[in-house]
Amino acid sequence: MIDWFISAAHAATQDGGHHGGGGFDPMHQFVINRYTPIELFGYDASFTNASLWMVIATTLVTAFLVFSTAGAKLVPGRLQSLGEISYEFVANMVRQNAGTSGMPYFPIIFTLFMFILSLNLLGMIPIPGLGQFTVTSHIIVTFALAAFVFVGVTLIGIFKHGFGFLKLFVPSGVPIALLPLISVIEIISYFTRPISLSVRLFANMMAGHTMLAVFGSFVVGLGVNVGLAAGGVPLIFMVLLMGLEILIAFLQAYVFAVLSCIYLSDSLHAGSH
Amino acid sequence: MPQLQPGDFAPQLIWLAIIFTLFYIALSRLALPRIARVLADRKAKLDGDLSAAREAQAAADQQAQIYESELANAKAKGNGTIRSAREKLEAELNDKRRVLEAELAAKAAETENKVKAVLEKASSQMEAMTADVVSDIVKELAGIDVTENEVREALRQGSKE
Repeated sequence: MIDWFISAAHAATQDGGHHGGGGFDPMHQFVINRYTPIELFGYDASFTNASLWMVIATTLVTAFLVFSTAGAKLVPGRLQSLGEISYEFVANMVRQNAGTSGMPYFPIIFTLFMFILSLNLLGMIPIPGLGQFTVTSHIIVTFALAAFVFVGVTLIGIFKHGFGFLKLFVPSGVPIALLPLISVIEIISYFTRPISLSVRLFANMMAGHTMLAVFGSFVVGLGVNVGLAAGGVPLIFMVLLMGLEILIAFLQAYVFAVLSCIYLSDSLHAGSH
Repeated sequence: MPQLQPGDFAPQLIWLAIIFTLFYIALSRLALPRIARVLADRKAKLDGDLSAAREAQAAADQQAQIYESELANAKAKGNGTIRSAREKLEAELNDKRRVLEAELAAKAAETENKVKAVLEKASSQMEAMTADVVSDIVKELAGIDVTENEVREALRQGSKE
């Protein structure tokens, strides 16, 4: 939030106190900055701000989960309880959506959920010197994750059922006359899964952060140009929006993980429904 | 839109792959087994405690059953003792009463006999004395010598009329 103020204030003061538009860009927060230019086999593998935020998020989560079980007690303390709750939350999610046969894939679902959740939540917190950045507001990142899930569950399905996996596109109990149409719809819906999965997360994250930046610019713009009290109105909205965004950060991570479980379940139980 | 800069795709994807893989290894090898172990330990402890509690409960039930059966035995035994004591006492009392009654009956009979004997004796003596007196009176008054037997006969006839 501070960062949105700073960038908005920067834009406002650049205009000499007169916000004429064009000076402030709410999309500026999504720009990739290369910290260490690296080239690998002809590809640009520079260490960027996105890379750094991913390192921070994953390090925090790993440290939290490891420290939560350090000196684990029979009756858990607060930290240990939180670690156990996150474990059981995802374990129940996998068990309910993919059954016990889905439990071998629990670690990857847990990793996906924690990865997205930590990046979503960390995007809400500005770090001094780094500013604020949400890795999951980049379509290429969410698409890569969704494609990974899509390819993974498809391979699991083919490995488990061979050609029987194609039964997924032929639902049982459908009249023969409707079968060609239904199959086409099923195939289209199957192949649009990675798109819907990635766009849902990316769009939610980008929209929320853009909206926060716009409201941040209102706070500074009204506060500087109209009066300090006038800036308070969008500030109240911003506080409320922050709460909403934290909810969405959690919800989108949950939705991504649940849908991954459902796709996994489809692959594991293809032909049995 | 900064997200659609194709030049940024390569570093994004490369670092996503590296960091996600490392994160997966860290979680699946380090963090998750630790939490799983804690949860399994707790489950084992709870199950152990529960089965121990169940065993203790069973033992307590058994003890209660033993206690109750012993109590019932003791009660039955006590009741038996009391009953036998009462029966013995009653039998003894009956015996004594019977002996006493027999003695009393014997004494009563004896006394009756004695009384009867005394009465008979007294009545025979009285008859003799009466006859004597009557014969004496008759002799004095009528001057008739009557034997004692005649007087007795007359007396008997007189008492009949």
